[in-house]
Amino acid sequence: MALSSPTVTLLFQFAVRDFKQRYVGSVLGWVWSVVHPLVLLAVYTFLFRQAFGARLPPDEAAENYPLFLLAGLLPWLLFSETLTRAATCVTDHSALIKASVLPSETLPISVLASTLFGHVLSVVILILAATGWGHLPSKALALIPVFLILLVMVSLGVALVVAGLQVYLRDTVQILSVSLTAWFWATPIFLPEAFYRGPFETVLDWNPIRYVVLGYRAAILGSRLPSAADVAVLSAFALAGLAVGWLFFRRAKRGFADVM
Amino acid sequence: MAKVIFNAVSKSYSAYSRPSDRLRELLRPGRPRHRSEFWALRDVTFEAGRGDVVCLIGENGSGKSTALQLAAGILRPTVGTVDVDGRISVLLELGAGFHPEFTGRENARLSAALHGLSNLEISRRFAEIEEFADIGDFIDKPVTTYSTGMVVRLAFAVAISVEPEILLVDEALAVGDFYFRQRCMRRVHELRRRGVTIVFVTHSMADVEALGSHVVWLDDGRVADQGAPRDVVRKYLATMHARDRAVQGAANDEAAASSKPVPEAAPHPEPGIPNVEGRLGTGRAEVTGMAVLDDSGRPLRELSPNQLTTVRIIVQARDDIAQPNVGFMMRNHLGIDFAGSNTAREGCPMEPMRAGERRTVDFRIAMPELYPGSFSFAPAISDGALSDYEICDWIDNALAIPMARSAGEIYGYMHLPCQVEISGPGGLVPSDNPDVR
Repeated sequence: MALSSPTVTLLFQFAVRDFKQRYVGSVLGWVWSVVHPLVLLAVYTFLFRQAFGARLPPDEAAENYPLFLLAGLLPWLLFSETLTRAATCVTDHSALIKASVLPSETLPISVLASTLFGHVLSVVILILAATGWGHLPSKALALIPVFLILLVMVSLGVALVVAGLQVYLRDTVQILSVSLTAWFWATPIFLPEAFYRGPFETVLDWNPIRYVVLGYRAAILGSRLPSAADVAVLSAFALAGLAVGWLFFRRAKRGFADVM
Repeated sequence: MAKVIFNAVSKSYSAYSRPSDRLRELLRPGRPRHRSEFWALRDVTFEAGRGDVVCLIGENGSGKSTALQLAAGILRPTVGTVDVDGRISVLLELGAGFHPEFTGRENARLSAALHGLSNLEISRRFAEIEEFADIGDFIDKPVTTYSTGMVVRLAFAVAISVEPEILLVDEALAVGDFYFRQRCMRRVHELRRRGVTIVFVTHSMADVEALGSHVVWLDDGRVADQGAPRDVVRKYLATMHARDRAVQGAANDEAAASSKPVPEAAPHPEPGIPNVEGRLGTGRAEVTGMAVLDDSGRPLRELSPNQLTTVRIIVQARDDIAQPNVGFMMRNHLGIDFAGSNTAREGCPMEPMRAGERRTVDFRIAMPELYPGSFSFAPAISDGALSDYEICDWIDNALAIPMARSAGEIYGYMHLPCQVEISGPGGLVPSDNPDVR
C-alpha cells in the first residue's frame, strides 16, 4: 500500500468514523474512552488492595498501587481492544468490500488508529497523575514513544491476522476472546513479576506485552528499566509479528469478495 | 490511456465443504481441496477503449455484475486476464457504506475518500457535490432521515465528482426520479465527450441505444453476442420474446390440458394496472385497467412509429357519474407531460354511468415518430365538462413502455410528419419521404 495521500485520507476517515461510531448518540462521546480505564482502575485497586489485601514487594510500586496498575493496564487495553475490534472490522464492512475498490488493510489500521487516540489521552493523564504523586518526569519518559511504537507493531501484526482469519473462520472472535483472557493473566498487570513462579516465568519471557508493561512502568514510575536484551526480544516480536500479519493479510484479502 | 480489456476471462466460485478449506487453499495454492465449482463467467473477451461506452446486457444472473466487479479489481479472474489502465470510479451499489447514524456530509466525505480523493480534493469539490445532489439542508442530517431517492442523489454526486478516467456503473442509473436521472444522463454524456471510458450494466434498452457504443450480451456467463447496439439489442429482444413466449406457451398448454373448457375464453385477459405510483381523485369512479395494444389487440412491448396503437382504459363507476370523461396523459423520460387526450376532447362525449357500471374506452392513435425513450401513461376518469370537472381517479405512471428507434434521426422529441419542396434554379424535387405519402 503506497502511502499516497488518498489512502491516508481514507485511513483517517475510517479512524474518525470508527472512533465516532463507538460513541455515536452518547452524551459524553469520546470522554468514555478515558472514563473506561479510570473506572477499571478504581475497581481493580479496591479489589486488590482493600478486598484481597494483596501486598507488594517494597521495591515495586507498592507505594502507589493505582499508578502501578494503570501503567500496566493501559498498554494491555490498547492491545486487547485493537484485536477485539479488528477481528470483525472486515466482516462488518462486507458491503463496502464487495461494492468498492477498497484497500482493505485500511480497516484494521484505522481501528488501531482510533484506539490509539484514546490510549495517548489516557497516557497523558497517567503522566500528569504520576507527577502529582511525586514521580517527576525523568529522561526515561522519552522511552514511552519507543515502547508505544513497538506495541503498535505487535498489535497491528496480530490484528491483521485475526481480521483476515475471521472472514474465513467465524470462530476466530471466540477463540480470540478466550485467548485474550488467558493472555491477560500471563501479563504482569495486577501483580509484579516477582509473583510469577516456575513455568510461568518462561511464559513471561515469551510474552511481548510484558516488555511493554515493564517499559511503561520504568518510563513513568521510575522503576527498573528493561534490559537491552528485553528490548531486543520485543523488537524481534514486533518486526516478526508485523511481517507475518502483513503477508497473511495480503494473501487472505484476495479471497475476501469471493467469501462474503 | 484509459482502457478496460477482458482477455478470455473466466470466473468460478468454489463451494467448499468446510470454510477453512478455502483458507488452506489460498495459503497453499496448487493443492486443491474437496470442492464443487460454479462458473459465473466463461471465456469473456471484450475491450473498452478511451471514450467508449460499453453496455453489458443480459438476464439476471447472467454474470453482468461479476464482470463489473472483475473490472473494478474487487474480484480476481480464475482464468484469463483483466487489464485496466486509468483512474477508476465504481458505482456498484449506491450508498454502499453509508452509515445511517452519520450525516450526509460525513458519509459523502468517506465515500469520496473511498473513490480515491484526498482530503484537500474533497474539500475543494464539496460545493459541487452538494449542488449536484441538491438535497438542501439534509446534507447535515443523519442519513436515517433520508428517502431512498436522496441517498441515490448523494451517492451519485460523489461518484461523478471524482473525475474518473474509467467509470463502472451497475444499474445505478435505473433508480431515482425522472428529473435526477436526466441530469445523470447529461453528465454521463459529458464524461463520454471528455474521453472517459464507461462500462455499465443496464436493463434499459433505451439507455443502451442512447448511450452505448458497444454492447456485450451475456447469457449464462458467456458472451452470447457483442457489437453495435442496434444489432445486438434487436437480437437480444427477439431472444427474450421467444423465451417469454415459450414460457407462456407452456403455461397455457398446461392450463388447457388440465382444465375443462372455459366458457367464452377471452383471447386476451382483461388488463389490470401494471403500476401505481401515485393516485388522486374522489374515488367516485375508478380506473381498473390500462393497456397499450397493437391493431390486433395484443399488448405491445414497445411503441413503433406509424403503427396503429390502441390505448385501452377500463373504468368502473362507484357512484352515478353524470358526465364521465376518460383520458390519459403520456409523459416522456424526463417526466414532462408530452401528449394526452380524453373522450371529450376527441368529440366523443360519454353517456352517464350508473354505480357499478364498467366501460372500456379505446383510443386509436397513429403513433408518430418519437424520440426513442421511455414513455409512461397516466389514465384518468373525471366527472363534468372540460371547463369544470372533478377528478374521480388519476393514476400516475400506470404503464411504462419504450419507443422503438425509427429509421431516421429525430431532432428534439418528435419528428413532425412533413413534406419538403425545394424551389430554385434546380427546379422542384418532390419529397421522397414514405411517411407522408
